[in-house]
Amino acid sequence: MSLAPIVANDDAPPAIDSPSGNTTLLNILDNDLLNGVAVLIGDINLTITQTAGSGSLVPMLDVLTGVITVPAGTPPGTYKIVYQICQSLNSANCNSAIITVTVSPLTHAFDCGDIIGRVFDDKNGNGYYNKGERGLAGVRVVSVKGLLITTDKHGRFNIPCASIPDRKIGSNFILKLDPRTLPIGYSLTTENPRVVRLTRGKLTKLNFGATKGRVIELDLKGEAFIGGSSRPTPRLLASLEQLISKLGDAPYTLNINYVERGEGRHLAEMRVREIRNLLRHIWSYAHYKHTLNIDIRIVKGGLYK
Amino acid sequence: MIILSKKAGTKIVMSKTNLFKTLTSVLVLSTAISTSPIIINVANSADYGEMRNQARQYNGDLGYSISIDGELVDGGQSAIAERQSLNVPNNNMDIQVKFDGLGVKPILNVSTFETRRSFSAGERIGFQVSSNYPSWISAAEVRIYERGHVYADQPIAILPVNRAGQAAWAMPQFSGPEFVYKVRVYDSESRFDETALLSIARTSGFFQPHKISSKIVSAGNGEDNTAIRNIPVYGGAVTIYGSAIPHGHSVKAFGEVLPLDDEGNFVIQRILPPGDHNVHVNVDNHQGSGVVFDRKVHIPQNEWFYVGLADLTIGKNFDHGKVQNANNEYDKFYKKGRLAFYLKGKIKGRYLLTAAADTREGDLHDLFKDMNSKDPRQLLRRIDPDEYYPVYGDDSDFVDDAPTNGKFYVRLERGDSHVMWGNFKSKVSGSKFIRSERNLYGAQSVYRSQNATTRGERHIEVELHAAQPDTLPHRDSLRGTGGSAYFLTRQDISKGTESVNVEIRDLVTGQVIGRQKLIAGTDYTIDYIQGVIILKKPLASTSSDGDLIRSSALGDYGSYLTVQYEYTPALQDVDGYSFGTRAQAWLTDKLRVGVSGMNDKGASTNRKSMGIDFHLRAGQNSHLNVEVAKSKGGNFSRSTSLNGGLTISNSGSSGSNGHGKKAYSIEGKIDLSDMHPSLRGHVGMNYQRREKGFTSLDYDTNSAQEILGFDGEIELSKNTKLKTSYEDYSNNAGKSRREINVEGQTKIGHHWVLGAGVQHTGRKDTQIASNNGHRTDLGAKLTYKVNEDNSVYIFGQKTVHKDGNRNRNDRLGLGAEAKLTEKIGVKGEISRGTSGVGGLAAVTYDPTADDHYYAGYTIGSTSMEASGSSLHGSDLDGLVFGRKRKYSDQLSAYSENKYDMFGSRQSLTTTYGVTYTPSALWTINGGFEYGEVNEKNGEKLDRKAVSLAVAFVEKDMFSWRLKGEVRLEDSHITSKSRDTYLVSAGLTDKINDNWRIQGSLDALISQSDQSDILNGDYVEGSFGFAYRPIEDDSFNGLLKYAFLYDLPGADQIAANGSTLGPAQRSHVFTADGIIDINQYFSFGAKAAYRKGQVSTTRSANEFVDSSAYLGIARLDVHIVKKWDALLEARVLASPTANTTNYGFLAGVSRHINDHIKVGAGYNFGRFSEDITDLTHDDKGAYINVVGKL
Repeated sequence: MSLAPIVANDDAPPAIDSPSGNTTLLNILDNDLLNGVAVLIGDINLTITQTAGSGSLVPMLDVLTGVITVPAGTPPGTYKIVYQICQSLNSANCNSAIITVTVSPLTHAFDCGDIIGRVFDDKNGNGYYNKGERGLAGVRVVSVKGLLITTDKHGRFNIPCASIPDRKIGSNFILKLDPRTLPIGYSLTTENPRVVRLTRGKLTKLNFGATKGRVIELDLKGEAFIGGSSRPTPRLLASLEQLISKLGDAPYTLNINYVERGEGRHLAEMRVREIRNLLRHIWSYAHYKHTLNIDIRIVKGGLYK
Repeated sequence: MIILSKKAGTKIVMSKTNLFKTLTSVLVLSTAISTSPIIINVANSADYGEMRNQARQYNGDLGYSISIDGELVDGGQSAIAERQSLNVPNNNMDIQVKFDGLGVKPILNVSTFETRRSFSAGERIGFQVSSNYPSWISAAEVRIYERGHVYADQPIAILPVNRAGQAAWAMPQFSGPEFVYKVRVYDSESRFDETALLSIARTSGFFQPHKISSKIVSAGNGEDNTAIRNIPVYGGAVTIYGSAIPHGHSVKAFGEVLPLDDEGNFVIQRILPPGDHNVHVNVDNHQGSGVVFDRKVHIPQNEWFYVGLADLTIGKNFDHGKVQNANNEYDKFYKKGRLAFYLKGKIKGRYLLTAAADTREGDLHDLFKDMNSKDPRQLLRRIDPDEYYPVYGDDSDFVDDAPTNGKFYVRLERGDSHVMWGNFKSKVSGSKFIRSERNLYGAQSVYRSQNATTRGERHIEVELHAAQPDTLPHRDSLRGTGGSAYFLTRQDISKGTESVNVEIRDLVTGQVIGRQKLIAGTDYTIDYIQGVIILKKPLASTSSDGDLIRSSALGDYGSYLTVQYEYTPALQDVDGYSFGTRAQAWLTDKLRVGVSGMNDKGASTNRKSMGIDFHLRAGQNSHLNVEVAKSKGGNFSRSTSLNGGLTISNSGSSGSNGHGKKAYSIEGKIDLSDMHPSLRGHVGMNYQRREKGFTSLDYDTNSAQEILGFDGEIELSKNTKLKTSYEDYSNNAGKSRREINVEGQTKIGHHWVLGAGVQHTGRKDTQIASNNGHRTDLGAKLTYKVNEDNSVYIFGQKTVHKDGNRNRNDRLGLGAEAKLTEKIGVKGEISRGTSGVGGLAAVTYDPTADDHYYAGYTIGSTSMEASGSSLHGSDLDGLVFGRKRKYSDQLSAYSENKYDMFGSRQSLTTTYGVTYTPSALWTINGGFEYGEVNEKNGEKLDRKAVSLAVAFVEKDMFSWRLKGEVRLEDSHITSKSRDTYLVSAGLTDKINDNWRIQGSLDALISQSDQSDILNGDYVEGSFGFAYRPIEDDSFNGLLKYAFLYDLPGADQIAANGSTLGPAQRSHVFTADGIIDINQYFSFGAKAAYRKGQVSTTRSANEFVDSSAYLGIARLDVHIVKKWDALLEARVLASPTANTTNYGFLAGVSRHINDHIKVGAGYNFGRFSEDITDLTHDDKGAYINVVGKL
């Protein structure tokens, strides 16, 4: 009886990244031949003559099936397994081959999804950073992993290696701006939280816009109040009611500017506060969801002339 | 009667009664309104048209004008006209107010008005104190200490701070001339916070003030320099930021006039208790006329912030390839998802809850598996931060508020007490013998009682932790080399797990005399993968014990860099746990009792230790410490190296698995002034006994040993001091030392100081023959103080009696000390004697509040001496009449913030770009040592080492640093003879606000004269460029090139557990940019190239290459709150593996509302391998639903 030729061929599956799940690479018997045809597991005995190393985090060869598995968390490196196949009917008819498994290290340049972004004063409210708009300093944006990022003087920020996105379809990344760190009166014009899809190895931009809303100037002087009191004239009161009902439910900043011309700082402040309280009440009566942001400025006239 | 609109349309008459109810609650309405119908036109609400005309035409003065976006819509012209006629400064001026209840960070700082260090005698020195929590501060004082004084613990002046945060002091005529100062602030319950020390000195010469980048506005304001924090501060932080305040105006807020920087910017922060607060900002011109801003701020008791993500992807791969993956990447159908959230909340004003959980992206079935176990598969943690772009073009700042190796993090804190689960730094301290500092994952609980002793120590402090480490700790003890680069024993150490200290130890007994913690970024940089640490300042091998007579050419104490870190063992799973606890209580104001315990169990080790300690305090500065500890089991792995890690000895397997081994310590000190106020001096004693096998973090006892010592020091008169010490050390291995030292010092006239002393030693050593016998040495030192700034001295010592094999100890030398500039001084000394030639030199640099970029530990100078932990006797400092024994664990440490490459601290002023304190332009440090360096095991080498470093910082625009070191070593152990060179350089240029570059290079070359195999090299260079315009967003780009060459130290252990690792080289180039085509479309492109080379052997350069290219083009569409879409094509090619991988992805998603986004995508890929000509296509499609909060 002539010996059926048995041929074990070396295997070198393509390098894989350190897997996040147990990864089956290939069946090493697929390229091995017995008598010129692919071996069948039943016809041979598969033995390992050299393992890839000790411990559990090394590539493994299953002698019952011929499949190589790379366990989750296997560190980067090159691993060698030497195996032998022998014909079941003739245990002296054997051949050996080497399997080389390469687990490549992850690198920032090839695998990370970086984020750059900015928080800006979206004056025109279009959600896009246009020329003439400015960044907002000291605003905090937060990732779902608890990374708290504070923007710089110009509203810019970065997150190096925000995630390692899926190789094929990328992965979602969420970032939320903490609105309490916006200057008082600002509200967001872009979605918050914002989700973008990062892709492997690519830089992605993620901006947040915020605006004071439309700015209403309410200029006041003594004539708008009854006598030397802090009560507004009926005409002013009516105008304010009308104003608020016309504004509708949207973000607004209302600046109360009071020009004081000798009636005294104290009265000026009383009057301005009165108007502020009045506006707040009218606003709350309208049941608007947005808050009306009221700024007070008292200008002492005369000396500026 | 007011008819607002006559236009036809739907007119409604508002329900007057309802409105009336509302309004009457705020004001009494005039009768006019109560009889007038209020008619409001809603049909045409966007159009004020007719009204606008009315308003314009109205000629009477209504006293008000209403305008929207600059257009008058109601009222008359007169009011707005009046305002516009005034030259009111509000055109570009911007004042922002914000409040934040969750990001409360107390800030405390003090500086001299002028950021100077040198003042002449009698000159008035003004101090400026700044903080952001004055509501909690009831009193403040500036404390001044005399440096190098016998009683450096006691302030020589306590200056009250006035309401404006100012204090003044006159530079004294005689004492000193070196002083340090700090501010201490008290709350109403006498708890206090303190800053770290800064130095000032008297000078007799005139030094030009050091150069600074611009005018000083308010030194130290807005920056934090806190060292000790006890005052519980809670509530919310209100920040007011203003820009473009016109010239000639002053700003007042919180009752203070605020400093404005050169560009008219200011920032002020106040932490305010929960409740309603009115915030006023007054902007006034010189005549007291101007604008008032008034904002109401409510700081709530309870406040929450959260972000959450639910992400579900269902997909199908059309092509089922041969390659399979348990990650379902290649399954036909797959469902994967991720749930994650982060939450931070304040409850009842004082409790802070932080929680985060992340299932990570994975198969739906596995999402909730192993929620409490650690995750070894964290890909992100494998990326080395050194690989990031060197510069991202902005100055943003980040903190990781929920660090965890597992899937969740939770922390509940009140003040500085907390319970938590996640990553933490264990801290068992306060005991001499039992100490722990490890970075662990698990549970930790820390309780620190609110009330404190009169000295500011908390009555009760408890720490308890339990963890299941997946890493092992290792400790390297690297003797100072006179240089600043050190190889660690292990490569690939776990990131962020290092604890780095400088320790001063007795060379014979191994006792730790002093320790200072180093801070990442400020004091050192570390390469975790290559296992290389580079200090910002060189570390000398030797430190003086302060005695006149020295036992070797360089000094009596050794300086060590101790680095403890975690690593993942290559061949074994760490299957163990780690417990630790420390509890201490002040039973009275004088007596403290503490217990400590630790248990670390590994697969084959079980280490237990416990101890009890008592601290009794008497008078101002007298105390007694008694401590007993017991340990069982072996020690952590530890290594030592005499030459900076180039050759390493492993030690530390002592320890016993049988009975516990004990250690005892008694240590006491009586300050004579506690006995009688006219007496000046102290007496002290210490006793320590350790049984063979006693092990702990700091101790590894190979043979039983006993130490007994006494020391005393007394000031006989103002000009004359006397000190004496006795120490007896013996171990069971036949080694002993007895040393008696007596010396005195007296000032003669104004210029001369004479010191003389005698020292008798008796030594026995079975290993080193020359260490057997007795010897008596006499010594003297004469110093001539030319003036406050310069002095020269001559010293000599002679052996008058010896027996046995002892070597003679004759020595003659001279030294000098000079001040070169305001902050920079030099000290140098050279001597020759029977134990060889010895030379030491150092550049001293004394920072002030403007040294934003100053980095470096201080031994024997500023921060150590007066903080109760004297590392007295600085290098060379024979002049210092220091104490022999003093050690306390109360070391000051800064909170670890984010630092840039120059070690600059993030602060309120950097965030807002306000310049209150300009930076010092130049910093310089360096050192020189020449002589023989000994270890207690008899190892020695002859070393010549020189180090010089210069840094230049111009505001935050342009800065560079350069350091060079040369070290030539010759040893009787041939493998330790070698020449080592270091060049370290860095450059940052913020060319303007839009773009900046940064480059750095660290090159460490060490060549053995024996064999190439013993060489060790580390060269890392990087260059980065970032374009991040502030004007618009049309283009943003980042670029980087990095080079690494590493030949590990011969004894360095690689990740796979082997030593003598091969040389490797790599080049990485990457560039990435995003162009906005218009408001909706942006186009991004990326190119990356990596070439890695690994040598087959250590000696020959036979490199095997692997290289890869990556190219990506990506088109993004973003329509706010409506659509997101992306189109991407990529190619990844590896010429060395002959593979090419193409990928294509198209995805679109629609925002349903603020919380839901739905999308779908299609991907296509082709993998080809040239050798076998194999190509493999795969296609897939997916649907993605995102829920977000």
